[in-house]
Amino acid sequence: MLLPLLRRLLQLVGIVLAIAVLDFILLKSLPGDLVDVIASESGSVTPEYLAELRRLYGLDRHYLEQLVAYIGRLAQGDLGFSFRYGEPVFGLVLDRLPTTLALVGAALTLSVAVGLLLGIAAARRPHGVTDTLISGLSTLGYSAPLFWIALMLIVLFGVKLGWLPIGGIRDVSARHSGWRGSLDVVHHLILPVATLSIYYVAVYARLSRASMIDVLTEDYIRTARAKGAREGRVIFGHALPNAVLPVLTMLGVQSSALLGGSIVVETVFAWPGLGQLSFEAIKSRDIPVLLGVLLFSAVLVVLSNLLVDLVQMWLDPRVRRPRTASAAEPRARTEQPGRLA
Amino acid sequence: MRRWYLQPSILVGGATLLAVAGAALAAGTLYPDDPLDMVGAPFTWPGTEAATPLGTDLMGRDLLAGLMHGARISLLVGLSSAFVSLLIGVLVGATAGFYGGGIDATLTRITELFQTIPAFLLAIILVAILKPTVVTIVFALGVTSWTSVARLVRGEFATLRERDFVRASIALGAGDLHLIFREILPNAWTPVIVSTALLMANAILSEAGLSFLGLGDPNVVSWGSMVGLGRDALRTGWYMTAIPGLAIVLTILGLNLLSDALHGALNPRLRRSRS
Repeated sequence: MLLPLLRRLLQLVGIVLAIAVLDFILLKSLPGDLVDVIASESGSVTPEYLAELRRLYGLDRHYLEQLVAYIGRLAQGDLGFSFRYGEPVFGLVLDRLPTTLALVGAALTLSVAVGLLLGIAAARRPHGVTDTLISGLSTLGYSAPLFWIALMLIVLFGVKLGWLPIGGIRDVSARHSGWRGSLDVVHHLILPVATLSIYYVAVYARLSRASMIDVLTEDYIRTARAKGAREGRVIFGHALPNAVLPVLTMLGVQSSALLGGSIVVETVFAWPGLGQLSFEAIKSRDIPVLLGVLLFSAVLVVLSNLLVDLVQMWLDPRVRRPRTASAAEPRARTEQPGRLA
Repeated sequence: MRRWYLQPSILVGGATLLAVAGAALAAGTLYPDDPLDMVGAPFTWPGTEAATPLGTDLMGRDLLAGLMHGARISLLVGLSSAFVSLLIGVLVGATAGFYGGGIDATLTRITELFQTIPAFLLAIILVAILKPTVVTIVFALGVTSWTSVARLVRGEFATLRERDFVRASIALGAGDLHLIFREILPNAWTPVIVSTALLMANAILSEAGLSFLGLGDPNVVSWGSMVGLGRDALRTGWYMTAIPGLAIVLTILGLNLLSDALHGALNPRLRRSRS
């Protein structure tokens, strides 16, 4: 039980270090450095003053020394300074994190629940009418770019029907407070969550269909049917716990794609989370902010993989040992490339 | 069993892609002028003017011309970055699976690292740092989406290298390069080919996403940038957003159908359950 946990934590440290190095390389590959930015903002400065500044910030030292200093600063939670906001990146990112987690969390919960149900319904009779309908729709959902789904939902529900707000997190003019305020936020959350879910429902429906079809051919299912278990019990009691394992693995793998997808969705809906912060940073080429978001997202992905591991250990006795059994490995389909945007 | 290539999904998917490729090829002859030029009155709805059958955008540019020229960029970026990913993925996967041991462990760690980083975000950062051009976009998408190929190829190599025909070849004194490229790789292509269609689909989607966010090559017209522009006129002329978006959906749908059908046809386990 403890070993995989420890392994993940070590992995976390390794990945943060590796990304720190990557961040550093990317920062250094930018044309110009911090001092150039200061110089361009202040107007007239002498070359001596610039050299003095470079010494002050340690920019004249060897790259390796700078790298060590950079990692040291990261360890203290110093992710650098945003050119545009004039604030430390760490605080900026931390401020936006809960908003993104709310969006991604709601979308994920909804997609897994709906996707599993659709997948089960489709797997009951492969290539039957229900399956053809569900598989066809999920292929369609799988093929549409998120930003386009978002815009079309805005046209339909925001502009034509006028049912839902088309952007932001709360109605600024109404100034709701208390539970009405929360209701307002939920109201604003519907379209972004629906956008992300349309795609991820399709993903999980496909995946759980394949996995359910696999599991339903196993001997223990036939045994369960032979001893007279009801269909509902066979599906939900016997088959589902095993069929859900590859779905869970995929969930861990996809958490990084989900964060990528939320950039586009947050941008379209002006949802003030990490994605929108990244978009603002792209526009003003505020690279330190982008690198901070990158580091944070990677940590989030490792943590969610850790969570998936724990849930899998709880569900599947075969995985309780360190991951040697093939049970935790995704099946063929999940080895296919994940989606980026 | 029916011939595998006569499945409806292969026919529909293939026909869609052929149409897109045809549009890309015909773009130069049908619309030799720059698709970014103004040709008619802005906000012309589709079907109202014979000269611009799909209407014009908010700057009076022909949507159909844009779509056909955009097909070139989508296919170009899709094919080239899928190629870059395949190249990196096959190299990393083959080396890791073939040599095993410490090399495998290191390469697997690197692959895991790239799986952990949100690929789209890294692609955004790379394009933002390198300045957006078609070449940098292909590079950024290629270096961020090779991990699945590497894992696939690694798996294939790890099992194939223990097979008798490989051992026989070793016994005959074959070198590593011969074993990798002449013996094992030809037998590991199947899953790679299937995932190529998906790689292309992802690359086209990501390119559209990048140019939608304003990180596309500013000198060429792309479906994503058309959607991004149309967004400014969402209330009055939603067709400007809908039409280029539909082009993306159809192209990706074609690739996904093709990939599904290939997956089914080349995977004997699935084939049996299908017939």
